[in-house]
Amino acid sequence: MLFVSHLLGADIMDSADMMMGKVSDLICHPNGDKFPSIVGVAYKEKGELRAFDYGAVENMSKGELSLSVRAEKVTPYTIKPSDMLLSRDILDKQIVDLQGTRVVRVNDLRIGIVSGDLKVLGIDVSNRGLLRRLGFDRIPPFSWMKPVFIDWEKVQVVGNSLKLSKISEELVKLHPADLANIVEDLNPHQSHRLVQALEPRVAAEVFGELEPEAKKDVLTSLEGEKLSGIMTHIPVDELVDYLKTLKTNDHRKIMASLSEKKKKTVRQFLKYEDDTAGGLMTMEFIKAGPNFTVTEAREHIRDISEGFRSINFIYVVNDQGLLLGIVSMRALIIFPAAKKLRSIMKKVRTHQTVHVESDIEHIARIMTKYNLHTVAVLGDKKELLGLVTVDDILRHFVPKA
Amino acid sequence: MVKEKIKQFWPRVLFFFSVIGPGIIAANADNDAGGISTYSIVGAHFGLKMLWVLLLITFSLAITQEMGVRIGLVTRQGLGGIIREVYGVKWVAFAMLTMLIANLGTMTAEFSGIAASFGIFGISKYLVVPLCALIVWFILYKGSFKTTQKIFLVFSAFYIVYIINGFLVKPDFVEATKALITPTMEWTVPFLITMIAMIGTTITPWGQFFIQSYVVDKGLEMKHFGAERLEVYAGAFITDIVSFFIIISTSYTLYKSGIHITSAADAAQALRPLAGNAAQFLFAFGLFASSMLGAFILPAATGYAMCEAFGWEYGFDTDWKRGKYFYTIILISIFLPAALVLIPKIPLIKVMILSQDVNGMLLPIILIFVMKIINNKSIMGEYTNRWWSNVIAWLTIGGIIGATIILVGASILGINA
Repeated sequence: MLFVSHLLGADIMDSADMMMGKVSDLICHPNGDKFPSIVGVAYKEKGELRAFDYGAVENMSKGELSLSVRAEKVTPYTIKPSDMLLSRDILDKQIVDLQGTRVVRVNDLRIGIVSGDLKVLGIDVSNRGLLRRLGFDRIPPFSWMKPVFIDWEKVQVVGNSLKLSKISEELVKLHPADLANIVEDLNPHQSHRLVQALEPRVAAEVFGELEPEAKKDVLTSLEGEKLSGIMTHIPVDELVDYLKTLKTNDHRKIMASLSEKKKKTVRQFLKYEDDTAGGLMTMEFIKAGPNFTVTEAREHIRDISEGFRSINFIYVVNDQGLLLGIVSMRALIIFPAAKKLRSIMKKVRTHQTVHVESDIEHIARIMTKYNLHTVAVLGDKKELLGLVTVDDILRHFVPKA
Repeated sequence: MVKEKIKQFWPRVLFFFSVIGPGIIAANADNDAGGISTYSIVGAHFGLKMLWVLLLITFSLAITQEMGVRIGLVTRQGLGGIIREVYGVKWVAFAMLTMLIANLGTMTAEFSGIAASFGIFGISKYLVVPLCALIVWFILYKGSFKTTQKIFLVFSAFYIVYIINGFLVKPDFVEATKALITPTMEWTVPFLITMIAMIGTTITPWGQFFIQSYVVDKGLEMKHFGAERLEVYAGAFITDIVSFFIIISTSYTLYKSGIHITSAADAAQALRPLAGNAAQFLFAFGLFASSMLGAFILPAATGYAMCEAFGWEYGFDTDWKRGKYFYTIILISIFLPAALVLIPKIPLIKVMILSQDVNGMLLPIILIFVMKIINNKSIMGEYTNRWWSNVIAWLTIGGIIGATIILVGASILGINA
């Protein structure tokens, strides 16, 4: 097995066996291949970094790189800003191991010839790799240890100077909570760039999962469009909770990034106390008029439900916004398409709802007594304002989960 | 109503501590078991002769801590991480080994401090040391590290008694001021050993790692730099004011009556002018609290630094399987030093001093890394050192190395005087 650490510092010998210099880095194109190819070799000449095209290399082994041409015949290679230098940008740096969902350091890189090209085959994150770099890996018991490799596709590079050119598809597939852990484990420079590179919708979900201190840290790194993009995807109740923890400056910064409509809603929510129905409720729910047919209701859901975490009921309200009843998803499936919601809805009795100023213990009691997963929150005139879900109650009692 | 009050009271207390920054914490934790005993011996055995060194290293402490803050703010990484990324595996392994030895030494001093403080009341170290080691582990693993750290930080405010005591011993402040600015040397092994220990307990390898990680973990940014620098300078000044009064206290009591410190009970005598017969109790309490504070901070600091450097998973929220190296490092740094202190008849005061010597002698290695990084334009950009920081830092490094060489030479030649 050949590793980058074997080639760094290796003598470069030309076809006449004259030494041209020592390998100082290997240049790579991160082009999304399973195994990225090495395209150039960097070396130092009179203290200056130069590079030549990898095509000139004939053979390599530990400590030596031999060329098929004379030193003056090699094709020079110009290092571009988008190039990845394995030692400068990858080795010893932190990367995200997407399968293990953790942040690890690159101890070494395994390389090898695949159909004529020199390619990076795997990233060594094991202690064996660490010991190899220290020169101890041939000594028992260290030599019995197995190296552990991660495929290039299964990592997200988050180097310090390198721009985050591409967010790995595997990264976006991770659960937001796992992604949030990764953001917390990276150093702030890296985590800021990672969050900025994520799509606003994903970034918003990740943001919601971060610890308060990490939230604050990420927030300060966000500006302008990126910030408002993320903020539009954060549910109002979450946003309000978060705003309550902020100092004036940060508060203002976030409010300025919101759309006028959302700003208005948020202002209204901010008036409610934390552990009352108003402070706990979400506004993510679907309402419909009593004269909607089942088909219309289904279509309505189709139109607006994207972005909702889950939907259990449709809330039937009249023109004044008063809550008349609820229609379950099951009802929407089993009843004929032409039926009106008025005739299939279940009436909601006032004692099975809560007032916007009810405290959390009262809400919990109502939900327990009537076995509710969600409870409707009504204002003074019995108008429907929002919902408290069992999650919101749980989060209140078990805040650190 | 009562509930209301509690609700308001605690956030306020916590807020108060949240504004205490890393500079003050690091400085306060500097006066740990090794610190108290070293400063006590400095005053008791050599009077005011070393005060000039204290004045000089106050500047060194301020400058080196400020450099740690600056590297943390620019790189947003711990010192271990940045050494790894810039100088590679070999150098970081060397730096980590250095830090590990120094920290194990300091942990041994902390447990010696715990043993010595209970020893004053005749309570056996075979009982208290294992018990305290278990408590430290249990609280680190299960409890709230931050709260505990704060509790012991409050306890360690006991140093104020040394300042009051320092006035009660009726010192000659003219003489003390003169000693602060007049270099006096004794070219003997005991003098050099004590001097290096004093430097090593004031400016520590772990302190350098701690301040930088703290800045990174708190998410501080460049805009905080001005305030942080002030805080670090203030921390250095405050910690050395305390050191000054410990030296004054022991100098005008023990040194005058020619008492050599061989046990914690001897060192406690210095507090007699203030506390009378309660001096023993007061000293024991202070020594215990400051030892425990150090014993909490060091294992975690060691674990964080090593795991960051080697890319192992860390943090008390990781499970055993993922965080096995982290937990192993912490267990070793608690229980190995604790076991060492249990060796029968081990001279506790000597252990505390010698561990600070180890810290002092290893400090240049860590400081040279810091200097290389902070003067590297490609890392620090416009935030490299000004010339005067470089002068003070290199003089500190050179001074310690020089003193160490002379000490080794003097030991070989057998100049014990």
